[in-house]
Amino acid sequence: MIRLLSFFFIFFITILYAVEPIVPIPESIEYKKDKALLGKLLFFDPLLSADKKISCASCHDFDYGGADPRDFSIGVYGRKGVVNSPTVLNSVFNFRQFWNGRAKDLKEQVIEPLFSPVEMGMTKELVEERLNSSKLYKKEFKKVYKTEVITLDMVIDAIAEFEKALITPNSKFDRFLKGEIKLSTEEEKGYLLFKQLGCITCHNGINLGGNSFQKIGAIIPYPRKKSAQDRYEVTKREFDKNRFKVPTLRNIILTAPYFHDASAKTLYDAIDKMAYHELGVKLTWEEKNFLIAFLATLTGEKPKILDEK
Amino acid sequence: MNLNFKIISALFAGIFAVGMLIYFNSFTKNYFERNNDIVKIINSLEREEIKLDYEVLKSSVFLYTNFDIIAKTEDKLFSLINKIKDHPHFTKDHQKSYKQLILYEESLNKKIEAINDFETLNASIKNSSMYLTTLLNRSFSVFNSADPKQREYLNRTVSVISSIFLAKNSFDSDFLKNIEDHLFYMKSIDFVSAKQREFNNLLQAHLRLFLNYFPKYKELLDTIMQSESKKILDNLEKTFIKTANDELKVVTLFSTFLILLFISSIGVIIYFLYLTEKENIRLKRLQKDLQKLATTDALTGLKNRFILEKDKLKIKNPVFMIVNIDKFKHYNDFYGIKAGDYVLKEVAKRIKETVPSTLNAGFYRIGGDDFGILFENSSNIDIESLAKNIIDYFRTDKIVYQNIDMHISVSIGITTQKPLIEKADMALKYVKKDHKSDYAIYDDNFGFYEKIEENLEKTKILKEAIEKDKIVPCFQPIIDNKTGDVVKFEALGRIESDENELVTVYDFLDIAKEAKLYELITHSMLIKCFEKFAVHKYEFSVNLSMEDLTNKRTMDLLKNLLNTHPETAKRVTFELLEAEAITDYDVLKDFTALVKSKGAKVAIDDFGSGYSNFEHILNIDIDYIKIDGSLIKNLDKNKNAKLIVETVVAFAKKAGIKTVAEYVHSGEIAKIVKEMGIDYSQGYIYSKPEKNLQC
Repeated sequence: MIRLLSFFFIFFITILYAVEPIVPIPESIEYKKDKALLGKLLFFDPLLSADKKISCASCHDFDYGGADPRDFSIGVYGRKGVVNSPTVLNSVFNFRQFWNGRAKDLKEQVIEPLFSPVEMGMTKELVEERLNSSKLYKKEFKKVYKTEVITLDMVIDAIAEFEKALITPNSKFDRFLKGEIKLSTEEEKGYLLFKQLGCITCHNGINLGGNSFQKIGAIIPYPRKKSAQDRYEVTKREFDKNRFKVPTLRNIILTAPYFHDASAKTLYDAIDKMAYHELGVKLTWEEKNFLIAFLATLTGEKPKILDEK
Repeated sequence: MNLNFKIISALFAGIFAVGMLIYFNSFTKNYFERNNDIVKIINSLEREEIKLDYEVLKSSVFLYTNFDIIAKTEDKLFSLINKIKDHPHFTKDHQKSYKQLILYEESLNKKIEAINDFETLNASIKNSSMYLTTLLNRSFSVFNSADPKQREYLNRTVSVISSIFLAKNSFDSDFLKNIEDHLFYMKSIDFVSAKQREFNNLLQAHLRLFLNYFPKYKELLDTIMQSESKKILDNLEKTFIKTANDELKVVTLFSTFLILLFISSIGVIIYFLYLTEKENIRLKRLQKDLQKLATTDALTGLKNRFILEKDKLKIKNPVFMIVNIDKFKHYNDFYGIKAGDYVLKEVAKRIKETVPSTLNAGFYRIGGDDFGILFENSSNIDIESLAKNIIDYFRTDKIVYQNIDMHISVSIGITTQKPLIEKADMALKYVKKDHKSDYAIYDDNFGFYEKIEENLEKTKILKEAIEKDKIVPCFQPIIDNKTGDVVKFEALGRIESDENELVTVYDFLDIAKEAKLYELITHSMLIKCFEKFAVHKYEFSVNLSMEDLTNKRTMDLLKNLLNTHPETAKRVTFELLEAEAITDYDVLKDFTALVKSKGAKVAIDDFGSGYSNFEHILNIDIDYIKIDGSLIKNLDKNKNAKLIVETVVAFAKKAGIKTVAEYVHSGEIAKIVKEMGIDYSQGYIYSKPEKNLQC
């Protein structure tokens, strides 16, 4: 019996420490600055919403980790959305965009909220008309795109370029990975737990998530709302119900509430729910504190482009 | 076919071939670049897919991996596919391959979807199996092994968990039955302790998850690993290479065609060049023939006068000779024009043979029987001996025409001064006239120009004199050597000028003959003499030439005078010039007979100067022989002259012919003449010719 146990243990350890599955965010990323700055201008401009009251930044608040502190974002004319806004930070590293991954890249992603009636409520014609009648944008687009006529494609291109620049390097954990600093005991214990509990199975890679689709409620079923934008919305396969793109854990302490349905108001709630539905366990107070200590190390520097003009 | 067409077609063919070569070059370059690129991408696709499979396997073996690598590899695969699609050539010319690429893309999409699903199942299975070890650890603190029921549960827990690990790591579904059995048992058992109940529920939840997911998990892994995509990609590569090879065949065919085109365009150019060259050769030959025709004398093959005019400009220090055939007209008249032509040809040939080739001389036929030789002078050329050689050559060599031997002699006029033809001609004329030499080199002292002037002047004077009847006879007395009495007067023609000067007509005779005035002089002399001596009853003599004897009008006039003045006719003596070649003795005989019948007498003038023929003299009934003055005036100095005169006198005496000495200009001569027994004398010692009779 003991021998068998030892075998399992050795096997477990071997597999557990085989690779380092988290990669630090690079210090900088390649992007076209003039284009990104034009994208930044657009990102913050309510002109791009039907009632000229909200901008992209209304629901992707950089004071809240590029996400929306509200459960569900409010669009034009006070219309309410059905999912919690995911963070725009580091989204360039995601393998798909949106909770259910229906956009394959940033450019595809930009269009949807722009045209969604519950978000910005625009049309292609309206976007082009508004921007073409703006002296400022005429001037700026001419500088960047050498054009007299602004088209939607350029708008999307510029915003996507800005989003590309939204990376948060040099988090404490990244600096630890790069061997620059050491983690505190709590943080170290948290990271070990993170791996032992199997969080890392899904939250891995550069974004600790954002690179696979997983089921919420693998062990204990999770209640599914019909409006939930899961993979099923895209594929209509039974298997895809309650299956979402794994969200990033970068800057996680800034982006409450959590989950697609914003059902976890705090990180404690989120950890409890994950442990319960994915593993069927209840974690001790101490374990959760360790995990949160680790998660807190994932907050990086503010993207440089936000301070640039 | 004109030249323009040739040039344009050759040019067109050349440009076309060059254009084709450039096109071909870029075509093949493009072909290889693009095909290499596509094959490279296909190979990259193969590599990336293997990498993808490896990552998937890795994620199934290792407890946790970085899914980013899989996502990135997926992105890479699609970007590679798009790279192939970006080749317009590929989508257009490789439609079969393109269809396979679309198939591949679809199959890859399916595979990636399978991988995404696999990742979900894999994560849950891994997390569960990992959590099962945690449960296993906890089990010994939750359950009491001393209790048989609980020990049974513990044993089953260990057994089921080991079955799960075996199943997962062997990918063998056979272990699932065992797990199902255990699960059935665990469902049926009930524990009092809440902790034990909770453990049992959790274990069952994980076992259920494994039982639910594992068959799908295994199936997905099989699907991923044995994905059709790799086969399709393999086919795609084969298809592409095959069509590319077919394309290459077209390229090879095209290049062969191009080379053939190039060769044939060169062939066309060569053909046109050949045509042009052929035409050129023909034209050159034609030009040469025409030139020859224009520059050559057809009969002798020598260059003509036209070329001489050109050639003489090329020579700095020219020597020019005119070779003239003596008495050529004679051969022409005597043997016919064919013989004459033959002579000309032969002479031309021989002149060429005689002149050394080292002189590079040019040979010309410049007139009927005039040949020109032109060459550059230099110090080592002996012009005179060259001329002598030519002359000697003809002197020793005869020309044979139809068994007739013709002894040709030539005269040569030479000049080193310009104008060449004129001056050589003058030299030739000088030779002809002088007779002393057969050649002459032009000398300014020839004074031919003055002579021509003089001739013109003389002609003018003569014509005027005839028109104004200024030809007058003068009379020189002839003395009988025995008695010293004047026995006769010789009438000599004089021209009386406006200033009453008398000039001998003798100097004008050549001109007169040329100008056809000669007979008029004779007529005037005859008429005036007969009138004069009709009055003065002296004997007198008048000079007649052979030309006069053959002139019908002169002879008619003479007959008339003889008939109308029968008394005077008996006192006249006609002096015939012996110096002139007497060719027709019948004329002479007839004349002699005629005048003698009228009582007139006949004398031979200038006897001993020419080819004196005693036999002829005897045949003709001659009354006097006038010994040539050139012999008489030298009698005191020249023994030969004396000998000739003695012979003539002796002959005349025996023949009963009276002799007359001319040019008796001194007492000495007069004495000798008398001593030699010459019958009569005349000369300046006795009297000059005077207008009036001097007795």
